[in-house]
Amino acid sequence: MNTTYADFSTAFLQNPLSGDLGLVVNENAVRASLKNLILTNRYERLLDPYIGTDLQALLFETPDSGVTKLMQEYIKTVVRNYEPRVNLIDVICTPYPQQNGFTVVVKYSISQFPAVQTLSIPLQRAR
Amino acid sequence: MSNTSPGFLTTTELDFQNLKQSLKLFMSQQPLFKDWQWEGSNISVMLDVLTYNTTMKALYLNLVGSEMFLDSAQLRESIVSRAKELNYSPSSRSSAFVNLGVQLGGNDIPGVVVLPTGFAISATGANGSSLTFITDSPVLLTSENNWTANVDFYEGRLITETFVSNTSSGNSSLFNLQSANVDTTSIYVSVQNSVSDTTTVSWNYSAGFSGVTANSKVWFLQGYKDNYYQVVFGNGKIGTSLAPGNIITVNYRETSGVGGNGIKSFSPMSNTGLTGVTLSLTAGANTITAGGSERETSESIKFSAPRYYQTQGKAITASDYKELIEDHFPQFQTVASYGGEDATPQKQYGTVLVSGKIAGIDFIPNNLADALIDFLQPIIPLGLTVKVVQPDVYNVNLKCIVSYNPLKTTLTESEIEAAVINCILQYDSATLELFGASFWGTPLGTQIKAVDPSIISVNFSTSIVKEYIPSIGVSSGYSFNYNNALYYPFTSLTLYPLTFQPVFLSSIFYYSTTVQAMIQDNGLGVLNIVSASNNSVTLKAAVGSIDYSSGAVSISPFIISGMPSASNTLSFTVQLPSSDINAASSQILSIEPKNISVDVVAKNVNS
Repeated sequence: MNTTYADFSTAFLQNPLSGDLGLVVNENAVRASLKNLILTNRYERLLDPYIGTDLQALLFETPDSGVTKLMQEYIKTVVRNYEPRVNLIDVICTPYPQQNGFTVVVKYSISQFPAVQTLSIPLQRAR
Repeated sequence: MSNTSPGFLTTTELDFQNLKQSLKLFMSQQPLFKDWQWEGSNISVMLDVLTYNTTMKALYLNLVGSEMFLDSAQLRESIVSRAKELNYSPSSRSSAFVNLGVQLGGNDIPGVVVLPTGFAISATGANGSSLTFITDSPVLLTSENNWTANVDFYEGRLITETFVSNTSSGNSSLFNLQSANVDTTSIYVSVQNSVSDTTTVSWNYSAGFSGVTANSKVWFLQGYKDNYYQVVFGNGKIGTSLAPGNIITVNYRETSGVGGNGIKSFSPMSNTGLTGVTLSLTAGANTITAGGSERETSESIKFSAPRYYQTQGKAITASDYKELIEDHFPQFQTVASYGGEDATPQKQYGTVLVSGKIAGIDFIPNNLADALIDFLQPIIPLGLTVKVVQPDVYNVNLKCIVSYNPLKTTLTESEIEAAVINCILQYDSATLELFGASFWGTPLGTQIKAVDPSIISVNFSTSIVKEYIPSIGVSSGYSFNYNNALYYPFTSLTLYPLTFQPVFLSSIFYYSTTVQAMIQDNGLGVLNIVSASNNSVTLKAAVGSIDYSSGAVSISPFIISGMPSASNTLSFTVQLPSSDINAASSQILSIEPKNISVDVVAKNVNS
């Protein structure tokens, strides 16, 4: 399989065989990138305040349909602006008021890889 | 431009985005990580960190590099430090001063009364602010002089700092003064041998190494931090070094600088410290505090330090005199120096003429003139003499007609007038008030037009005013040169008096106790004293002459018996043919608010 995309893992995992810094490639690299973008707060990245979403702040709002819609828009915007490798199919945000959290499911495809990908991210406020 | 050779990483950028681009370019040349171009990737986050780190280091290096040179230094502390390498000590604030008559009273006055250094009086500004003025040396009042004296008072308060020399500390010759508002000309240093040996000797200030030997009891002064100063002693080879246990006492005046200028009201302190003696102060009608100045700006230090270094502490060229005086006498707003061969009306070969303008007054007080001579005499070439000449100050009388389109502005006429006056005063402070600085109408007109987009046109008429404070009842003559061709629309003097309008006019004064008079020209270059109420009545003919082409005026001695109550200034005004006024190198042009007249005219135009 050709390596189209290659990144290292967020956790700096080692390659168990060579001991080098482990690579994350192709669909997994895009998935990691997407997760980074969604979980980054705006103004978190130095000198580029528009990268990211404000999901963390929304977790402290009443989880109604308005918040859900806003969450979807944040995710769509950041993906549209910063992840051109991805064709976004759907963003589903499901609130879990009892757990003070959401589950975000992003359905997308990648230009060079025909299969529809699904990224599921559980969100829960930390305090 | 970035080097795109394989394996080359450009790190000279200071801009974050450009630097990150360089890193991306570098990453693009290696095959392993390919996602550097996508902002969400981990490698992109890592590039951000690297870029930030590199930017910080580059900025730090750039800052260090900049601050190491006088030209590019931004921080005042760095500028002062770089200037120190050129043996340049930034000018400090200087105290405003005033000369007052002091009279002691009382029934039981001792034969000799001494007002000590730092003897204080109170002064009240026009805005009600209260300041303290002090003496800078002891003043002796004796019965022989009826306990009266003319005394110079300087704004500020006396500070005394004491240090103990301790060679074991490794910094035994350097002492920091605690006040940022020192008037460095007031610093007085004395050294006591030790706690047990109270023999005290005063040490002298030295501006450089010239003439300083191992036995010279001198101290040097240098800038320190932003606005502070250090007193430095010799090392035993250049200047006597301090011995362990020496007690150094530094007295100086702490001043508010320009804040002390323009004060006319003085009174003794409620507690003068003089037992059984009353003290009264007398000030002349024109007495006003002047000479207070602000500390030297960073830009000025950058400009002056290399030029001061060029002089090497010696006054050889005319610019040497200027640089040295500006550095040592901060109270001068502007300084001029020129050889006697350029003196007018009579050349003075072998003499260097120096002059200076102090903020607030148009003359150099005698004690300051003496100090100038004392300072310059040891550092000028043999065979030359220095002479202090009073500044030749002329006021510009400006009548300004400003046309504006009211449809293009929300400002009222009075607001436009105020803005135009402010603009003229800014032009005055930025361009004039310097020796040889000429007044040009066109640049000022351009600046006034820029005040508001509604201003359509600006027209000037200018005249020059020379002012004197006359000595009442004393026969005095006046001689000066406007140094400009005067307004004279007639081609032949013999045809002139038919439609006579005087070109030269003085202000009104009392020629005898009851007759108000003024001086005007007759159109033929002759000045007459005429009646103020009817200028066809000549009170004294041919009192002086005026040259319309050069502007030279000479008035023979005559007696002024008084001045109208509204004014104590005798002014001589001439009209000029254009709005431009040329200033000779010994002349200063000044625009004062009282000499500005602005007429704002509304004009409705379509475009």
